[in-house]
Amino acid sequence: MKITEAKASESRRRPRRRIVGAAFIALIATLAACHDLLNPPLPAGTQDPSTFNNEAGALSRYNTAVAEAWVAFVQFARTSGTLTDELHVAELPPVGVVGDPFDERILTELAAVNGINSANDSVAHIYSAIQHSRGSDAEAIGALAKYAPGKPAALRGELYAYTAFDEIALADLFCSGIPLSTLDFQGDFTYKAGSPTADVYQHAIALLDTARILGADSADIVNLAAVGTGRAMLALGDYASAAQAVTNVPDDFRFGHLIHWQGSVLQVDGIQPLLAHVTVANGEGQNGLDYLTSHDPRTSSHQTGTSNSGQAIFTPDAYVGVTPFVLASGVEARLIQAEAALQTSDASWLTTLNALRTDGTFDVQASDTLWHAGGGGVAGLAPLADPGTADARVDLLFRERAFWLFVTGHRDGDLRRLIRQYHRRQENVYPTGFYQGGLSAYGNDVTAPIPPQERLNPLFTGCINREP
Amino acid sequence: MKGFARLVIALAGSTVPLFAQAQVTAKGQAVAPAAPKPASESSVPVMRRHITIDLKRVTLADALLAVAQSGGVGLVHGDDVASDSSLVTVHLVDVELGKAFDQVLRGTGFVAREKSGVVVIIRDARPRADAASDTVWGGVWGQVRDSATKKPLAGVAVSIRGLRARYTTNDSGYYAMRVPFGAYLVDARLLGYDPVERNFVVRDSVIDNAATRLDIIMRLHSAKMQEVIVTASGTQRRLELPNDIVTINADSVMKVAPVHNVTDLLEGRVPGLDVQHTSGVPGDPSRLRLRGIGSITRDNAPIVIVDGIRLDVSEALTRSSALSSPSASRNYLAPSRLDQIDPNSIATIEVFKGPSAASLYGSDAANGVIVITTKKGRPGPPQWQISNTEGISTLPGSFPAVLYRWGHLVEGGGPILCPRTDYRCIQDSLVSFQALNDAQLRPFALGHRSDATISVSGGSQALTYSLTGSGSQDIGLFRLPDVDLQRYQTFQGTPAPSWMKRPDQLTTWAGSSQLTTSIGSTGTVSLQSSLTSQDQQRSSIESAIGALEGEFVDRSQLGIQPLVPGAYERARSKSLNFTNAANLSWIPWTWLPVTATVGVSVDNRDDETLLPHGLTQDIDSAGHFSVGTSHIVTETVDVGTNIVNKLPWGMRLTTGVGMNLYSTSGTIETASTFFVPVGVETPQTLGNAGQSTTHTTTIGWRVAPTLAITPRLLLSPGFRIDGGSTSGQHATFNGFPKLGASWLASDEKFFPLKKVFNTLRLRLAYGDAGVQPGLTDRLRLYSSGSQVQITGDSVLNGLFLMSLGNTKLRPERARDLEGGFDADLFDSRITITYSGYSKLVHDEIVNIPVAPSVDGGGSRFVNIGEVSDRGAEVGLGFEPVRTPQFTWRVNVTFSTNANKLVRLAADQLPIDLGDGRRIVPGYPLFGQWAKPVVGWVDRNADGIIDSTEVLLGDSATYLGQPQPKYNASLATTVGLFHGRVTLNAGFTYQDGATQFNQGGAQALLQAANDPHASLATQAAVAAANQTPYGLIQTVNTLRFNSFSLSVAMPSRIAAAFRARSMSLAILGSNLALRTNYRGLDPNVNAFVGDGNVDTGQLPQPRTFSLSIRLSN
Repeated sequence: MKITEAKASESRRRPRRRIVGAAFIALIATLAACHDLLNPPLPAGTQDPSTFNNEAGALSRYNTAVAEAWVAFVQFARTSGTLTDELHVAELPPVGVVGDPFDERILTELAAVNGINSANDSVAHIYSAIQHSRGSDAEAIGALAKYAPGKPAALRGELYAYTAFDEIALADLFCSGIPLSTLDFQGDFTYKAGSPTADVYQHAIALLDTARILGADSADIVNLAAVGTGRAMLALGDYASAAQAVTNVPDDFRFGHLIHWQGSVLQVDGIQPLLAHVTVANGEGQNGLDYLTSHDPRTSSHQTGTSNSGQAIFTPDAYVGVTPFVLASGVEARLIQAEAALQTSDASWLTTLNALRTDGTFDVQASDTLWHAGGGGVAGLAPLADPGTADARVDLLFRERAFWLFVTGHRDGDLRRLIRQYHRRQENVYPTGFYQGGLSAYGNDVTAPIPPQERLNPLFTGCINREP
Repeated sequence: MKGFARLVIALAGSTVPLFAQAQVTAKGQAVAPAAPKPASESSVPVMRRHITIDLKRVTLADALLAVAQSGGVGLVHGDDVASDSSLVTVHLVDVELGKAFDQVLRGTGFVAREKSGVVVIIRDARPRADAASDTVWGGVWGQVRDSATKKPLAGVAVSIRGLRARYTTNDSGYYAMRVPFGAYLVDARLLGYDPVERNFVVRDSVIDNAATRLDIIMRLHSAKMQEVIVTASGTQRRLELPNDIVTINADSVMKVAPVHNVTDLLEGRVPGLDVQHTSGVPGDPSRLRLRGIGSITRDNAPIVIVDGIRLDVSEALTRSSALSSPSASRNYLAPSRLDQIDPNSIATIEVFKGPSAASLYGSDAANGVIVITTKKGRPGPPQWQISNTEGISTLPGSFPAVLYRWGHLVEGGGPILCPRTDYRCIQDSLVSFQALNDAQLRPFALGHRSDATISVSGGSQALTYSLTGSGSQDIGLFRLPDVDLQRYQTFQGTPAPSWMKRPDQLTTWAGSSQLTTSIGSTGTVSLQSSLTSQDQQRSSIESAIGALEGEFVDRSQLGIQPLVPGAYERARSKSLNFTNAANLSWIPWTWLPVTATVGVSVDNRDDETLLPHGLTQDIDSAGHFSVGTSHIVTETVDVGTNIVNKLPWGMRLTTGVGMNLYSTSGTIETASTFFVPVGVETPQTLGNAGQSTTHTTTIGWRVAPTLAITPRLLLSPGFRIDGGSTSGQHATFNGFPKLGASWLASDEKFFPLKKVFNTLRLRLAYGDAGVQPGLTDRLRLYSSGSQVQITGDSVLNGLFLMSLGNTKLRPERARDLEGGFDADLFDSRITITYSGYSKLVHDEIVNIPVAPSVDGGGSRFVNIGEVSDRGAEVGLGFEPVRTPQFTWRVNVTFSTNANKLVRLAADQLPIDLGDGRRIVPGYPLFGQWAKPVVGWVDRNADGIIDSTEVLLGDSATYLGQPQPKYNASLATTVGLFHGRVTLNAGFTYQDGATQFNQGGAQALLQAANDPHASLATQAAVAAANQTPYGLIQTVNTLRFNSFSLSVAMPSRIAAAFRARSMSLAILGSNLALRTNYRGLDPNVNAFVGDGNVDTGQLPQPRTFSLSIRLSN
């Protein structure tokens, strides 16, 4: 009978059951594995990030980080320039162009014409641009270390230096309490609490130390790190260390790039487009320097247009055409040394300043270097005489810095240092009185507030203080 | 006729529908309508008719059916005949019908008896002489299986009456006994199942190795509990699922209610389901939410499975296609994929909510699952059915009249509109006006709907089929007013095209087929195909409601200015969808039944939006034309098995193991132009081309054991592992556990109320489900399209960071707990289903901005919150009268839902969505917030409150939630004259949803012109430009949703149409609405997502229709 057969086969089924069960499971597993089902194509226009995990991808990240760093530096120079006596907002930018900077001194006028949020938006924009540059640097540094170990370490050194200059810019412009959050390459990010201004400079110095070590094979990177260190130490009031840091920087060292956006290509070829709608200031707010009327070759400018209110717009000749934007130079190194000497009443402070004026030449439209040694002196610049008093000497030193470092993002830091380290009063340093061509007076702020968007950072509690 | 407790009634060789069986069973007697007789033989006694027949190895039931069909007589036989596996071979030429039956039944123990023209097959009470032959031994063996799940039943006591033979089935459900040749009665018993008695004969003709095979089917003796539910694990009995599963029989609903689409089938019939319509335009999609809202950013819509195949019905895709083209003047919504399924092709819809959905369908199922099973054929000659419905639709009610003050300026001049707050104006008169009610201006007309369906099914034991075809055309309510048609002709020189006159139309053609065939004796294969073609046309005239509701129309400008700006824009969407599925049910070994489903769903859409040249308000516009195509393919693979193991102490373990794969890929292409040549209405050279693609995959493995501790007490633990692209690329797998228990308490011996309860089942279930992040949400993405150029260098490749991503992003995880009971009382006159649920969704995924100190800005998705949905659902069936002449049944559903955002991450601030909706801990998701009007003072005592006299609160306050707190429905059915006349009425009730009446804002503003307007109304109006507070209402609605009167026509009338049955029905929908809402219909909303804004949507129309159904 059939049932007998069925019963007899029961005992034989158990091993077969296991075999078939295992085969069934294997079939399912194989089905999944064979089709790579867990990683289907990403939507059109979205590229799988793992395809960039190679040397080419690392170098592309590096290129981007370099370009975005310079964009941030230039935008910073423009924004901080308008907050000082270097530049003046001549006309309102067209809709969609981020332009006018925040400053309590000019906020009222901007609000009357352009809506009350535009000034704050401008501050938020430069804050984001600098922080974005820091993020891009972190991405590129991580990618170079992981996927391009054979490439020169100086590439990473350069990016560390850019990060440091970003942080110096933040410390120069914004109030105390700047968060230096970190973006982990291929990982997450870590929010950081606001750092006091001094800590930000110290952090930048540490980054520059790393840059110097990684870039030891590149004289440019070593000198860039040295000038940045000197600049940060100067901001901390450590004049001697600042001078020491820049001792070996050659006179004609220059670290600059040309930057410009064109279409989908971020071209590093000029600052001029970013200077649209602003003009070189002259005697801005009573305390401003005579950048135009002095006819100093270092600030030579020419009229490039007229604002919609009829005001002449002057553009620095240094930023016409393809003249580079200079981030650090041997000239700045000498200026640092001169300031350190002045602190110790060392007469070399004046010798050093005069050497720049008489031992070199200056071509404001040169594409390779603005200043270089030799040539019998800068045309139009005579040797300086010692003004005799301490305050006058400081004024002279800072005037020289203002002219040598014109629209390079140094002036706002210098004005704050004049208050912080040289005990000048705000109303004697920053533009004051009635806003030129405007209806209201300049205000009293000397630091930009950190934009409210940073409140998304749970560790951020606002400015620690608004002191210079 | 006790012996025919389960009857199969065949008439002229055909089987009557299932519900007829149920009637017969309930009443305990068979009423067989007279069979049609061939005219030439009407005078010959039935059993003497001569037939010729040739049958070879067919089952006994098929043989009897064939003989009856050949003789033109009705046939009635018992289930035991149908399940008799004897194979019959006869070749009869011109023999009497009675002899033919005798020949076929010889040796089976059955005999044929003719009664009133119907042949009844009964057991022969007399012992058969040839069956008792002395000592010739044979055997009987077979398998005992569950009637619903077809699974083998172990432990069944099988005995043969009169003999001592007794056997208990083994794990595979088999039994075998040695018995002498002869006719016997076998008895099978298992606790919880109805006992089965079967006649069989051991004889030469059916000997297979000297043994007769006799398979036995047993049925759980609780009718409700033995219902089959189609799940991802295959078919399961309701008892085995520890959840409430709502089952809708489509045919039953469509006979008594106006049904145009699947949403109509669902609305008001599923406790816990909230349906919000986007407008009353034919084909507009609806928003379905089961048990509230669980996700802040992800889709909250249930998923849809048709015959095991997943459809892509995501609302996001629905909205992103070309009909939402920015060049269009109105944001049209695309038709719903769910509603493109032909309701005529559907057999049942099962709605899974809570833990059941989660554990069965895994990571995408946290919002519930709608499982649709299409119709299948049954063995027998072709059964056909034809239906046709013709109907009209109208605007339900009229728009509220608006008061306008007319006057003149203090300094003089002609009459002008004179706002109450304009102190330069002196009022002369007050005019009541509403353009939308004005015969000359109203952009409405009678709508018309026509649909027709034909279906045929049948087949043999080896192959069954079911074919359905249908077509419908729905012309909506909008029409371009004559004044605008005349204006068109004046300016264009030609009459307006027909599409412009009646702009909203929907035409649908659908066809579906189902074939099932056997694979030997161990399996079946089913092939399902469906095809739907739909053409939906709409127009920007829809904006007329919002534009005209609060406007005074200057008739002197008629014919010069268009009545409705942009009314000439046409939006069209053509879709062609098809679904192919293959289902395999195979038992290679008795302990390893395998089910497999493979299928594909393809959705193609071609959209276009056209504004002809020169037809805007400025008359000289260049027009615009935009097109979009979408192509979405969803593939499904599902393989599973259920392994039964017998455990000690009578326990039984059924282990379901399986895997499924859903893969969706879509491509959307768009293009547009802003210049259309004069007179052109077809696509031109287009620019602005865009393309987007998406591809997602979900793969999951499941292990779902069901432990039957006793046949009445089942535990259902389970575990799923899901992964794939919907977990975010490069993500890991996620596990989803479940645990359920089901106890059929009423079957326990100690149960004390057996006279009251037919059934009482208690159930408790817990399950996890997920809602996955988007495909790229976890990834740090870069754009490699841009390049950089640094001094002296050539152009270099750049790699720009576009999105931070979040490598720690997890799926949203829903934890569902559900408990309840199902009860049948008083001979099933009362049925109650109760479920209470608590659903907690952790790790809500929200796109949160990142502080700029990280990378300058941007945002990323993070898991930040916890959302709870709690509520209760009650289904109540009550049959107070049940007589042959008069039956009355009432079905009531009631559900509550309390939705709340429990918490956000500690450092996360409440989220303001910018349109009045907010995400705030302690409040429902997408709650409506606005600054309140806290007071007013008529400072100048002029009786008028202006904006300066209104005091607003300092901050926005919570006003209400988008989902109703309470949903209820009532459906009542009265049957008269043996069910020949049926009356049905359906009502729905909603309360607690908050609606923003944006479209009626202008009308409300005009309300302040009423000299009797209260100061409160005036204050709300005066503050309207500062806060929408006065325009937001928490509404309640009581809707007389459906009515039908259905009459079964006498058979002689049906016969005139060559049919055996014919019914006529008068149907109506949306017949009345009682609401506190100030607009016309609070259940239409501009949002497909979660929020309620009425921007002037067309209300759901009121419809009346006449339906005729014919069948053989």
